Amino acid sequence: MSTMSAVKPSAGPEPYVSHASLFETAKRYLTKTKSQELLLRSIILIFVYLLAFCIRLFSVLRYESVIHEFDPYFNYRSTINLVQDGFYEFWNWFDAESWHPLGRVVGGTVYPGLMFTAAILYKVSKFLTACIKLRDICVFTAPFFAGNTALIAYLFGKELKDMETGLVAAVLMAVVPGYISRSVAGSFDNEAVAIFALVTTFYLWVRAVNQGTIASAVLAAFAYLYMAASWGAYVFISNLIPLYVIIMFVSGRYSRRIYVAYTTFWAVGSLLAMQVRFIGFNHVTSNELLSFNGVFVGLQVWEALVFLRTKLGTKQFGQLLYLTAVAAGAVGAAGTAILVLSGKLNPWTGRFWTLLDPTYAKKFIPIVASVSEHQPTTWASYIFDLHVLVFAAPAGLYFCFKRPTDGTIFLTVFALTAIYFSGIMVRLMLVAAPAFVLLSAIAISSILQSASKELRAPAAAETKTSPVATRRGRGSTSNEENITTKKSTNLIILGLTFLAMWSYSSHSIWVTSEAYSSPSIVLISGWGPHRVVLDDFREAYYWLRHNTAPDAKVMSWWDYGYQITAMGNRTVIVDNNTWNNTHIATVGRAMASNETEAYKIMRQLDVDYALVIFGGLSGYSSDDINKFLWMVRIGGGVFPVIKESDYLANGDYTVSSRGTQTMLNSLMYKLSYYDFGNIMTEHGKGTGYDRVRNYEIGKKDIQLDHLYEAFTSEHWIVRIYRVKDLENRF
Amino acid sequence: IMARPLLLPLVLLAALGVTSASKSVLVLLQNVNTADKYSKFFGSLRDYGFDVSVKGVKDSTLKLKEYGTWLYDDLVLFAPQTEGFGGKIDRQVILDFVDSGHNVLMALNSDASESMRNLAAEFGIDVDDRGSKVYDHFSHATLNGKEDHTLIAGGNIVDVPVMVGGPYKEPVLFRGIASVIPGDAELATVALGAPSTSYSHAPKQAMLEPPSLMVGSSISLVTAVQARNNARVVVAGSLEMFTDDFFDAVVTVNGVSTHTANWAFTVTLARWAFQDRGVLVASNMRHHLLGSDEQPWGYRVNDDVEFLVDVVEVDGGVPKPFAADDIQLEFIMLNPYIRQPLQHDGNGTFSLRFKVPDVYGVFKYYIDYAHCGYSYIKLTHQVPVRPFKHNEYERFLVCAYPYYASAISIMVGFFALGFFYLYNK
Repeated sequence: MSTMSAVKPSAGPEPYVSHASLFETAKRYLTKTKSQELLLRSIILIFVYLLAFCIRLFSVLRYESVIHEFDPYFNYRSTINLVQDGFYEFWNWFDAESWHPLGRVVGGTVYPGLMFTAAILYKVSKFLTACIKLRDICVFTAPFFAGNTALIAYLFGKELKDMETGLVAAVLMAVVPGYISRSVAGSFDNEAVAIFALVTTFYLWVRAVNQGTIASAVLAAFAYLYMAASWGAYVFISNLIPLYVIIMFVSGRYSRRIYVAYTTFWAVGSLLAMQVRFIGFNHVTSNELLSFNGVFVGLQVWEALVFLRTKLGTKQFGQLLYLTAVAAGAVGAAGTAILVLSGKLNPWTGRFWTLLDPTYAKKFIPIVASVSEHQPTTWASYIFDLHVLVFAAPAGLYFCFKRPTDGTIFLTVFALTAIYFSGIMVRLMLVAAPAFVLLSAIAISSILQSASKELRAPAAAETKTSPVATRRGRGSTSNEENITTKKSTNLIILGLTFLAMWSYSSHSIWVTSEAYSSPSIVLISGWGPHRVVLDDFREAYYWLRHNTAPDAKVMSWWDYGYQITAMGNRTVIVDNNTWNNTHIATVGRAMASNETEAYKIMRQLDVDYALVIFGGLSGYSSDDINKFLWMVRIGGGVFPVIKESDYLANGDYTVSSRGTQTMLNSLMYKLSYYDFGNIMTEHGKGTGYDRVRNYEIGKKDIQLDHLYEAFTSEHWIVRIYRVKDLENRF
Repeated sequence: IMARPLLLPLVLLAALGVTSASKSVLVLLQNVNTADKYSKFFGSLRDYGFDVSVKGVKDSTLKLKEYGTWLYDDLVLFAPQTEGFGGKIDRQVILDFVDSGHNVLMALNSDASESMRNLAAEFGIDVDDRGSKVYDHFSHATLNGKEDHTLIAGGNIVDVPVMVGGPYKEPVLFRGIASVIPGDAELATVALGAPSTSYSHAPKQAMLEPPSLMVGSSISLVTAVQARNNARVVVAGSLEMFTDDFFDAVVTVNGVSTHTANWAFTVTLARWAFQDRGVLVASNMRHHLLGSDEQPWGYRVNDDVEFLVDVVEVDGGVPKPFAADDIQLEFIMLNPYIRQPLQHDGNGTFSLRFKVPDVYGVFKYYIDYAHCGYSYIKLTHQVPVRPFKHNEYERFLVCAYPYYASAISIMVGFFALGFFYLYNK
């Protein structure tokens, strides 16, 4: 290229000197290795950014530009509120349309980072006169932030090791399926921006430790604010960083840089995080942040002792140390005792045990255990979500241990804890993904570096030594052979790495397009000419929006609460916020009771409509009958009249005629299967054949006394019933 | 939310419209030629402004509803023995008639047919077997020198003047069939109860041992039912009590000769049944913060608020202010946080001032007034109660002065120390 351009200007008489000089400048610039590298790097990063963004657009191409799933609908609704009513109204928002009649103080129970982000993006785009719908802003927030995360991964890798590592990290991060699962277009959830915030905080923290300046630590604290405003997992950061400091201390690598970084981070970070209403003083008083605050105090004591040691004699200092230790021990023990006795300090909460004992929630907290993303992770999902990174990350750990720096030790601590937590809950795979990416980036770039260096080095040596070799004749043949075997080994290593990367990328693309792009409010089953689109959810929610009184109250299982308020614009009894277990248990009890009992509960809650999700006709398996045992368990946890054994026929959960009378007369059963006994679903089976449970239902002549069917969607997935008034004449 | 304050007065206007219009009554007789027997009863109804049309129960042109419009406001069934109706009337039509807010007065006798019995059962009234009569060997009357143990004269008239008028000195004559209402009946009132010495018995059947449940004061002779939609139904066990003969009779009860109260009793009860008496109309429900006239979307916790509602009693089509001390207002979120009687000002405006509880949530105002003889008042209105906004708390708290002092002293101390440390070498 350079030769070509060198020839061109001299090809003929050039009248425009300025033209030529511009070209010359560009040429001169491009011939420098450093600037070539910069150009190449920029191009790579731009492509990585585009890749990260575009791979997440499968959901929009396959379906449409819609908000996905459950929680994103609340975030979307909140963002609308924020944009329409402004910051202060949002901050003080009391939502009377959910958790009827309790209401919800949204402003004080929400992590507002995501909504602020989307609202700011919207305002900026509006200021730039770009006419983008708020919904599209929300849909594309996650891919946009995925691109940002990839860039941060580059900076992080650069900070940890070198630029090459950074580039590999950026590429890996752009397409890691574990992260894509929560950041496809439409997945407008906290995690979409929180992973960006998490990686940024860690990067800035490592940078702060490396630089040891107040400014860099303040920067990290601001990233921490963004994380704290976005996602409840901010406590992961504020526990990991103290843990890292302790490990550095114990391993003897503690330095003034860490002291400066941590102290600044603690002071500024705490103050900033406390500004989030949902966190507030929890940041000081919560047990979850005990280590964050404790390590700060510990560091101050240590530094004070170090300071005193320089001022006092050894003997005096020993005495002082003894006194301090005794006093600190006594005060600490007394303080802990007082706090525990007064109930202020209760470390043994459910959340604590859930993290230490993966089976705890399943045994004691049904509402936590009932959520699918809280299930323990299987090995298959590690391979599915991380693919080749599962194997590359241990190699990365090896490289970290081989040449430990402050940064790589932090990465090691981060990776090990993240791996542990990801094993407990599927959801936390999201946190483990960046750790795997960075470890793998270190491993892969190290391998590539050593392999390509060795590939290049002998060649250079050869050209240098070749005249000598020819002069000396035979002497270097064995050496040459050695070089060729080494060369081929390195080539094989490079080839294998390439293969691994190639299969990683194709796996990521496949996973994204097949598994992670479904919005779950629109279902597509079948393929090709047999493709069936099930759009029942939106059909039903729009029915509610247009055909019911504006102040109608809808009772459904909490999973659908956010969607009903956002799409149906109607008040719900419980929703995905799950802040009040008793209220959810009341709804569970209503669903599990017989119709007469349920009617009393529904009247007390002012319920106008009952909504159930039913898959027996369409084969949609995550319907309410399959969730019903959770309703029974959650209801029974608060109201002992509901007993799980009453719903099981000899320990067997069935909807067929073997089912118990309690089961067959429960409100949920009646609402799901009302009129279903008259329907033929499958050839060769009787009427009322449930295609999810693969049973003929046990009770076909269902009569409703206190409700009547108001709406059933096209594939019967959503069924809505109107609660009748009291009888007029009795 | 905007529509609701508007909607309520409209509904009430409509209700008022119905009460003030000339009310058309359809009377169905067993035999249309016997109308003269009830001439005084019908005449009194006409005097009160009712438009009474009398027809035979088997008339083939009978209809209550035409093109979705009800042709009559009230229905009188003086045809106890009939098994079916002529024209387009049947049991379901009559039930729909009631369920859409119209009223029925039905009279039975000892030979009441199965279909009449079933109709009464639809209103929650159990009528005794066909052929049975109410007997009383102690407080019966002697009419025209003929002692009759089924002519009951000692009935207990319910003490609800708005429903039955009174108090009466003369007895109400009754000859007919007994009925009972279940103990848990919420909507039925015994307008005329049987004397404690009475019992129900079918003379052609053997007496049960022990006697059937229809004994003494558990027997209802005349039952008034007010459905939840304020439609009223009166079921009288005796058709004869509406006749001119009973109105004019002079009877001897326990040796004392007396006139009867049948005329006043039946006409008052009929006016009650036809919503001419004892109709309450609540309107103009409103609430506001003290010191403001605007009706807010919701309150903040601990706000001082006032709730007002206008209640009029419509008597003979004329509204007049209602006065009662027992209308309760509840302020409910799952449980009633406030439950207090409303104060009235004598002009029909009921009000209550109270402090909103220190609990946020979606509250509702709730009035469920069910005073015997009056139509129900059932009002609900939803009001969200929100917590304090961030800028509604007190800015400087006295109890926090030590903290302010400590923060400021730390700042000053740090500055002084820093200055000292840096510049005092």
